[in-house]
Amino acid sequence: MKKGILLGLLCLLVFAFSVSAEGEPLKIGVYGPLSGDAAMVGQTMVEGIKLATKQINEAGGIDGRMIELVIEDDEQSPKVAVSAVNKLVYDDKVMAVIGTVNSSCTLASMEVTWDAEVPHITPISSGASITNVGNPWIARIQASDLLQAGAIARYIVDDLGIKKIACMYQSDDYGTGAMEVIVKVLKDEYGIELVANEAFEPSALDMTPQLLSVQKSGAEALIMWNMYQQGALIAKQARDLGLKIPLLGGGGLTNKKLYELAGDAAVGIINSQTFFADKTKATPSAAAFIDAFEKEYGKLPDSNNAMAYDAMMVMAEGLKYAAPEFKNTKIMEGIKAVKDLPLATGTISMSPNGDANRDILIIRLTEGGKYELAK
Amino acid sequence: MNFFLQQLIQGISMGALYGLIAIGYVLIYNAWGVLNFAQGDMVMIGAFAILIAHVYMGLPLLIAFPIAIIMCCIIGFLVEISAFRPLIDANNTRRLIATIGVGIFLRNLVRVIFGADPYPFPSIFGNTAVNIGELKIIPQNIWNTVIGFGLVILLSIFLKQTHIGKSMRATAQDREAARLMGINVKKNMSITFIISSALGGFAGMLICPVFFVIPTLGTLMGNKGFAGALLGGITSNPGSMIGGISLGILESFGAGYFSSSVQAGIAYAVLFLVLIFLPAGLLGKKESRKV
Repeated sequence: MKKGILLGLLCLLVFAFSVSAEGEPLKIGVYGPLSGDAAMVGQTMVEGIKLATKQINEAGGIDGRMIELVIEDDEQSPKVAVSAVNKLVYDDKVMAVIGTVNSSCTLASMEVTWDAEVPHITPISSGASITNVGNPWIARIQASDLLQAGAIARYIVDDLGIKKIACMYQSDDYGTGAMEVIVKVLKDEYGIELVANEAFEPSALDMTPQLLSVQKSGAEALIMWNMYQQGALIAKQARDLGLKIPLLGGGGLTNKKLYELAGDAAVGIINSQTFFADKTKATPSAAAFIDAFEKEYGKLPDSNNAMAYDAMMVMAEGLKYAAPEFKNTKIMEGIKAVKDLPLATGTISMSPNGDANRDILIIRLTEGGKYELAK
Repeated sequence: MNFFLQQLIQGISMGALYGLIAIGYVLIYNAWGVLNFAQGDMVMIGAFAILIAHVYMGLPLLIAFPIAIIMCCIIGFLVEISAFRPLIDANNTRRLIATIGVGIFLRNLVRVIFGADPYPFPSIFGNTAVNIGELKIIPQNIWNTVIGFGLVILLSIFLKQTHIGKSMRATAQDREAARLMGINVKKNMSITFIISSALGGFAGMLICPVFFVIPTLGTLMGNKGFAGALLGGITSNPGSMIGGISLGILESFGAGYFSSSVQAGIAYAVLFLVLIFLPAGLLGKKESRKV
């Protein structure tokens, strides 16, 4: 009997809560590396998401309801990422989740949102497997490594006319995923085998043994799939060894620190990118973003700012589609229904597996640390 | 053949640095009876010390080097009197945990002050490879090897010939007996920590033109130094240098001839195999320590 009363009270409480929820903010969970080695990228991500949220709320929110962000730190550790998302989903009861930077962290933590059936957008992770494992609750704004690594491989053969290609990659989900794509694209589309294919730990500092193998192979171009710190190490140590071949890589290389760390050795590095902060060459939607970002933060946005901004914008599309009930399945449907949406990183169409499709840019680092569009 | 020599040179120059770090482990293990897991972080402190002296204060290298070494000595001394000396008679587990704690503290202190991003460091000995035949020799590599060996020789002369060195060795052999013989054990402990901090710091200073200066530098290099120390026999100074160099060569050849994906695991594989098959290391004492 007592139990019955208690249950009744509980029902009443839930009912009262759901009634009062009308007009309440829509809670979106955000998590990224806000401390530790990748803290800078994490902050960058949050900046982009906050700018988009501000614009959405200033325009009246979604269905009259404001977006409220709940932000958590994942310390760039898959373990911590899982507990951060657990907290967002089960304690903060967020409606949807945006995060994170590191591919291994996204892969580990998206299991939580998959289980809980919470819509999840990763803005920056590019690991190919994220959208390949059949998770219906994940979408990605970053161009997957499938797109980026393929674009770089084709650029080397088609535009540089080089066929003796070596590859170095960091031995985690990010590097290995891209390496597999590069091997496949070169083999299937051009019948080319890599002359050297070398792995290194993401924390490695001495790349010389790998570079010596690349040098020995007689490669005429080196693809390196890693973040900018390792990119700078490779550029510097390759120059020291007298290895003077073009260095190419993925979006993880774009960072002003690449030039600060490696100096002139980094000049000429070519990499794939989804966003390039040049108003004169940008699409109207990208130019509007650059303007708004400069006004808000007093600096030019980088590609991670832009992708995080787009992630929130795509999320908003999903929410609009699901209004006013905001059912999880509807939100996800809305996210995947995005088609030809002009945003900061280009005109985005979401594919059924959750990947954002758009044109990939190729950029080159020039003297003084400035980037120019190569293609 | 060239490839072989090239990888060998690379292995030796990295190995000399591992050896320098390894000796720090050995000195403290002998004097204190436990491994100092903050030793790797002294490498990082050394790298940041030279960064401050040379890049931030703009001092020429010949002045910056001694200043950076003094900074390492001071930090080593402060760590010893604040964290280790109060535990001088505590059991091994507690002392071991103290060293881990000091490591975590130093790493995060530097991270709070300098941030987590790497800092570039200008090349000391020029960054163009010298061609000898078809071999490409990076001057820094040669200097690292020469300085590494030089320091080890100086250290062994110091330990064998000077009064302080002799009393350090006596303290290492039997702290109680040394105390009874009128040797100032506390002073010796401090000197041991200062010297091993300086050696670790020196390794850090030699590394930073090749790599970057980053708070996690110590974790990575500390593990390599530890594996080198264990391979050489954790109680032997020359052994740790040999262990360090062997590890450097193994890593270099492993990456060059086998697969670069195994390079990072080699230090751990060595640790594992030595512990199972060669617990005393290459030059360590055969009998176990009296407890």
